This record gives sequence, structure tokens and C-alpha cells, in this order.
Amino acid sequence: MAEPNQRSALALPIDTLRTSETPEGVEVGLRLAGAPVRFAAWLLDTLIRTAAMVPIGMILGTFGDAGNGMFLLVLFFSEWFYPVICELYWDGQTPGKKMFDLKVVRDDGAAVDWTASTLRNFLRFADFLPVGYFFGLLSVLVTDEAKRLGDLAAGTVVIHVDRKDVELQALDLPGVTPLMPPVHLTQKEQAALIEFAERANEWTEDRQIELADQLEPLTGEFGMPGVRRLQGYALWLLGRR
Amino acid sequence: MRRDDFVAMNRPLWDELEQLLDELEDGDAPGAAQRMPAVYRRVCATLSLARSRGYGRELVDELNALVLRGYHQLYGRRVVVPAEWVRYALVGVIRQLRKDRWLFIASMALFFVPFVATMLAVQIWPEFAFSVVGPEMLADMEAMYDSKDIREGRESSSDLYMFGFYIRNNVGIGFRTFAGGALFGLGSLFFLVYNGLVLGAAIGHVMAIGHGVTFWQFGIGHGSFELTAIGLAGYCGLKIGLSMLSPGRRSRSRAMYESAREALPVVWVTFGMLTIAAFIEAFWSSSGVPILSKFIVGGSLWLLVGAYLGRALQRG
Repeated sequence: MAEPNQRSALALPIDTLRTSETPEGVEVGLRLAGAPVRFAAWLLDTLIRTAAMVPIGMILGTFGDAGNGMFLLVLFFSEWFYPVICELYWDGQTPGKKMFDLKVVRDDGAAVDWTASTLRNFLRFADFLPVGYFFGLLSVLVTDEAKRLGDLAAGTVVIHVDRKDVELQALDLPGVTPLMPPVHLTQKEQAALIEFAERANEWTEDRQIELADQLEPLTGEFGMPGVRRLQGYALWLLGRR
Repeated sequence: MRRDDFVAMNRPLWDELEQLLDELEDGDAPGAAQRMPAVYRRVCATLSLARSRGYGRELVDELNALVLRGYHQLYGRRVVVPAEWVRYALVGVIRQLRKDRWLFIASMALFFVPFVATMLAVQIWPEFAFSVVGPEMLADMEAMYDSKDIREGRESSSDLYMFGFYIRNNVGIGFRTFAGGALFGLGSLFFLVYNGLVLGAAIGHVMAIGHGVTFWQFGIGHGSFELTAIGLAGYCGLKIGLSMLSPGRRSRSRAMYESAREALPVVWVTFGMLTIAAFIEAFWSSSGVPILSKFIVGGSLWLLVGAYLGRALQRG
């Protein structure tokens, strides 16, 4: 397992993508989450916790002093252990994090364990100081991997996770015929063409043309015909004939 | 091999892993657990291939997510046996404290020196108490140790209430004293000295107005666990703080990570001690047991805690 805090040679400092090598020798990518979405998840967790405390308080309140004492115990556990329990039993996610597709993992991408989760959540208090997570925000902004103080001590990062149902769609481009590229392309160039074809639908035509025009020397065409040619190359590279 | 062929060839494998992971994530699935590692390793290989052959971001992202899920299942949880915890609390923690003997002594001193010093100062200059804590708190303390509750015991339903109160309050103080260490140790330093001063002044005041025996028959029982636990929490926080200030030949974040891992078991012992203290304080200290037995039991508890922590001072 890779040492925590050790940066992989593949990582690009300007990106929020970090990679970590698993024991199987394969690199997995971790997409780091920034402060705003984490704050939103925290806010949601706080709301959920508060909302849960109201009925519990009302029920326990009917048992007099003993009930109030139990309520203080529940309050104590919800203050210090709610995130720990959630992160341990739902693999790094509290309800708030789940809602925003966030997850806590160790620096090497492994699941959080007891030690990591308790450390990052006990130290939350320091992040909260002096008011409204000020020190935590400061730490997220200045550290390379967007860690708050608790993350630094625990050796954890908060990452974006994909929803389970994302699956590769076969590339479908009506009206485009597969074309063999006129020159031999390196792997990087091939990958760039495939990604262009996959993502082109998300952009305006102007943007597609703007990008495709850069490759006029390759396609010999400007404008939409150029775009079509590039998509044709991509289909060919994917194995369509 | 072209991407479409690659996908067609491996799709059954990926679907198989996905199905196994669904089963495993839903709970115990011994059959799935047996088959998963082999399937997972083959999927890892396809991710490497997809990446090195440049099959494009979408496919790599999908496989990446799948491998990450498998990784979490395979290398997920470490089960710790409770018996191991107890052994670690008794042996491992002492070994840890011994390694940091001077930091341990300093943390205790940072709490106990202001505590004892203000307590004594208030005996000589009673007004001094008012310059440390507000008059309202002192009035509360006076009322508390003047009432018959503290001498003759109170109802058991309020015992339970006080137990909840002490846990939330005192364990909270302990955890905050620890957490403050992440601010270059300043938070722990503050909480150690501040709690020492306030407790010293408050107790000193109660003693100065003539309720000394009333207070100590109450306080001696749980004081042993509670007061030393605050010092211990301070040790844990200061350890993290010092590692940030002087990381040695490590990066600051790495030093913080290592020291926090070493300190955590001590934090758990602190938690345990404060829980024991809250238990004693709620159910024993305020009960109507004769004063003499309270002093005998309380004194023995001090000896017990002293014997436990004292081992940290011996040479290893």
C-alpha cells in the first residue's frame, strides 16, 4: 500500500485528481472534493442530526430527570460519534456526504478505519474554531489535497464518487461513417480523438468547430465537415468498420 | 484490440464483479466473498489495459469506480477484538507515555500546577478567586455545597440526569483539550491551563468559605480519574501540536499523521477514565455513604490511578 501523503509521479499538481496504486499494481484515480460541497454536506448532516434530536428529546423528556439524563447522553454521542459511526458502517459516507456523492477515504484510497475516522472527527473541533470552520477552510485552501486539520492527522481525503449506475454507453453517432485516420496516431492522440467524439454532444456546435478547426491539417476540412471527419476517425479507432 | 471488442469481451467480467460487490455491500455473503478477490484482480488488469491502450476517459472512469469499490471491500475493515483493546490500554498506552515521558510530565504539570497554585492562593487571598472566575459561578458553587443534597445524597433519578450531564460536559472538555492540539498545540495548552485555573479557583473558594470537607468527600472519589484524564488529553493534543512545530525529517502533515496515530489510544483511555469518573460522580460521590468510607474509597482510587500512570515514569 502506498504511503499516505506521498504523491504519485502521475499526479498533476494543478489538477484535483490524485492517483493511488493498489496492491494489484493498478492506479486508481481519486477526485478530491473542495470546501463548498463539503460544507453543504456538513450542513445537511447537521440538519438531520438536529431533526432527529427533537423527537428523541420529546420522548425522553416524558421520563423526568432520568430521561433528561439519557437525552444528554444521546446528545453527547450525536455530537462526537455520529460521523464516526456513519463513516464506518456506510464505507466513508454520512447521510450528507451520500447526498452529495462524497466519500471519506484514506490517502491511499482505502476505506476509512476506526482510527482514521475517530481522529478526523474528534479533531473537527479544532477545524471549527474560532468560528464556522474557519481553520478548517484555511487548511483546505492551503493544503495540496484539500484536507482540513482532521484529515491531515487522520491521513484521509474527501473525494467525489460516481453514482453506481454510470455505465459506458456505446458511442452512437448517426450519420457518421468510420474512417481510417490518414496518418499513424500515438496512443495519446487516439485517446484525445475518442474523448472528443464522446464529449462533443455536450458542447455547442461553435465550440466543436473551434476545436476541430485546429486539426484542419489532418482532416483537410473546416467547420462541421471537419467535426464529422474527427468523429469518423474516433469510430474507426473504436473498432467500427 | 479495438475498444468495442474489448468492452464486448470483458463486459461479463465487469458485470460479475458489480453483482458480487452489490451482494457484499448489502451484507454478509460468504459465497460472494470467496469469488470476489479473483474477479477483482482480473478487473484490475482490465483497468490497467484500458488506461495504457488509451481507450478513453469514459471507460477508464467506469472501471476506476468499479475497482475503487472492490478495493474498499477487499482492504476494508480491520476487526479489533475488545480483549486486545483492554490489553492495549493497560500495556500499550503506558509504553507510549514512557516514550514521551517529559511531554507527559509537562502536560500533567500544565494542568496541576495552576490548579494547586490557585487553590492555595485563594486560601491566602480569598478575593483572588473572583479575579479568575465570575461571581455567578462562585455563587452557584456555594449554593451547591451548602445544600443538603451533597451531604445526604439525592434521588436516584437525578443521579441519572447528572450522569448524562457529566458525560457530555466532562468528556467534551477532554475531547476539546485533545482537539485543540491540531492548532500547533495552542488549544491544548490553553485548555490545560484554563481548566486548571478555573477548577483551582472554584474549589479553593469553596474551601475558603468553610465547605472544604463537604467538597472533598464529594470530589475525592472521581477526582482521581477526572483530573488526571484532562492532563492525559492535554498530552495527546500537545503531542500533535509539537509534531507540527518540529516535524523532524518528515513533512509537517506526515508528522501530524504519525503522532495522531500514536496518541489516539491514549485518547481512548482518556475517554474511558472520564466515563468512569462520570459514573462515580453521579452514583457514588453524591450518595449518602458515610464520609469516612468515601475518603477511604476515594483515596484508594487515587492510589490505583497513580499506580497505573506512575508506571509511565519508570525507566523501561
